[in-house]
Amino acid sequence: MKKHLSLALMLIVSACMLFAGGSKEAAEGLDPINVSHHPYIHGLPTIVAENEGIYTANGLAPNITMYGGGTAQNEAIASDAWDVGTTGMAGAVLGVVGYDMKVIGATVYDGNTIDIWVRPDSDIAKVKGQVEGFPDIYGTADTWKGKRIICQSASNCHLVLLATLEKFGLTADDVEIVDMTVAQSYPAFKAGEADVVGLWAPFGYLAEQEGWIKVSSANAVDLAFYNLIVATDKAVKEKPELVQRWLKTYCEGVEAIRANQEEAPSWLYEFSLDEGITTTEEDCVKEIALRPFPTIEEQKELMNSGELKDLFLTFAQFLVNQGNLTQADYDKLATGDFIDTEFINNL
Amino acid sequence: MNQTKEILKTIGFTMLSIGLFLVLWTFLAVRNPDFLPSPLICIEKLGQMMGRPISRVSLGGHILSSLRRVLLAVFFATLIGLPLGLAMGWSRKVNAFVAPIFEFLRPIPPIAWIPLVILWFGVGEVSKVFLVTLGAYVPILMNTVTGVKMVPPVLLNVGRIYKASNVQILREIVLPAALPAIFAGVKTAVSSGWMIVLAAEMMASRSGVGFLINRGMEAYDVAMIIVGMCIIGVVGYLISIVLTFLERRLCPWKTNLE
Repeated sequence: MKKHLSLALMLIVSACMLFAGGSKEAAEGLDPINVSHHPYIHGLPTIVAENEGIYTANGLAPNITMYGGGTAQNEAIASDAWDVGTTGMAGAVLGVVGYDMKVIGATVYDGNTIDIWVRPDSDIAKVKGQVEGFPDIYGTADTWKGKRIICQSASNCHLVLLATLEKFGLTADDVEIVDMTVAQSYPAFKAGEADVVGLWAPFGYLAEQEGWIKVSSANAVDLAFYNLIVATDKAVKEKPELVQRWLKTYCEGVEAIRANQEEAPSWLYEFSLDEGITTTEEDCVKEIALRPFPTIEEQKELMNSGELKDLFLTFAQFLVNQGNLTQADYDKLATGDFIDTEFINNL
Repeated sequence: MNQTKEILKTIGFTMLSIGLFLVLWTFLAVRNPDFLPSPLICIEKLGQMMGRPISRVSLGGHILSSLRRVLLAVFFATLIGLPLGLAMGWSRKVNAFVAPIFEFLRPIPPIAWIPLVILWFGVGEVSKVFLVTLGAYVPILMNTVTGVKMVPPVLLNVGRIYKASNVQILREIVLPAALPAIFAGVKTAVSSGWMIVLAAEMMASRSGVGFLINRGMEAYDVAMIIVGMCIIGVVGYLISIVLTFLERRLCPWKTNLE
């Protein structure tokens, strides 16, 4: 009996020991830094920087984690899982409010790839340019009214959708919005659900292939979206020199992409496959062309002029309207110093 | 001779079942390839996943990550469930003290704990293992209680006649008699742990089969989702075989009775 119990215990403990993970040691002479991205284009500069030896040249040993989205990335701040990284606008707003995250730069412009789509036989697609000053929006108030729309709530897509409805004098109450993540929205719409769908890249490229019609977009309603370069409050306070060096490294990765526009799509393609994201080289060409990286000078302009803060606050106000933030949160943002221009101005 | 025939028959039925399943799958896939990739496409995807690490982790690494979480959780669940179950089964007072809380907590699905677990432990390994442990300790505890309660009174009386102490009765009579039930609980715990780990890995994970399925969902890669599901099935089946083998070694009298 004792023999049997000991055997069972030994087996369990051995299995646990066998599978126990080891921690990565930073390379000698390099400063470790925990970097967080999403497995999409704004994570590419880090990968390029790593592959091209830019991290090593700047004395950094990155521990890179790719989070599926901003929510998970923000939750990981609590366990000190990362110091610096990039995220989308929604993730950044919620990260600043919930975790005192700092915005230290701007990256990939998203205005070209946040779109609203319908099937070709939709009555919305029949007419275009009915709203003065917004020639790229399709449909009329009557054709939009009562439509069932799949859209991820509190997202860039949602903001574009509401802005589109507003142009026709409509509100969210005039349509039926079905909340679904963008990843689920595409197959749901493809399966015949709803009349309209809000998508962003790379799902927009699939929508194009399906022959769906783009009836509105961030550009069409004059909304601008940037992804953001961020750092945790703790990293900014406790290791500003590392944050500075990392931002330099990331921006050098951006410059490498900007300087190699012909090679960049294949870098993105390889990066996507490495992260388990199925894509095509053609879609990567579109990604690089439609989602440009701002230069350091453009970032400085965006941040020092207050434009980035305005865009940020526009999105925050939208989240307040949706009930995702309180007015107190907004006021805290409006008066706060969450945009830290010091790092980018030092470059 | 007859035994060989029986084995061949069993293999034949198994092959027939798998063959029919694949034919049905292919038939449905041909009708709607966008929503259900064919077995061939999934095999091709599996080949890609085996040849290229995803998020810097090999396919084997992803499977081991999930397996490690499940085994650790079952280990902790056994540490909690076994002594508590023995105590609850042995002593009415302990049972009266613990059972109300246990019965209250038991129906709460481990997934419902996710928001709290994130608040308490963040999104690292601890939270994932904790979540799986929450689901895994229940069958171990329940089976242990039942196993102890079902020890034939005649065995206990023999112990008492020979003036064995309570500890001796527990160790030499109750525990061996309850072992088959306890083992069945551990088996169930591993299976349910394997199911819960997938949900746990959907919260900010960097590796694991749940991570692969989530990544497939994010990228609308249906083949990757199906490959992930098949891995769950195969690994679950292999775990079941290993546990059955272990059970035969640890409780040979049970096999003899069967």
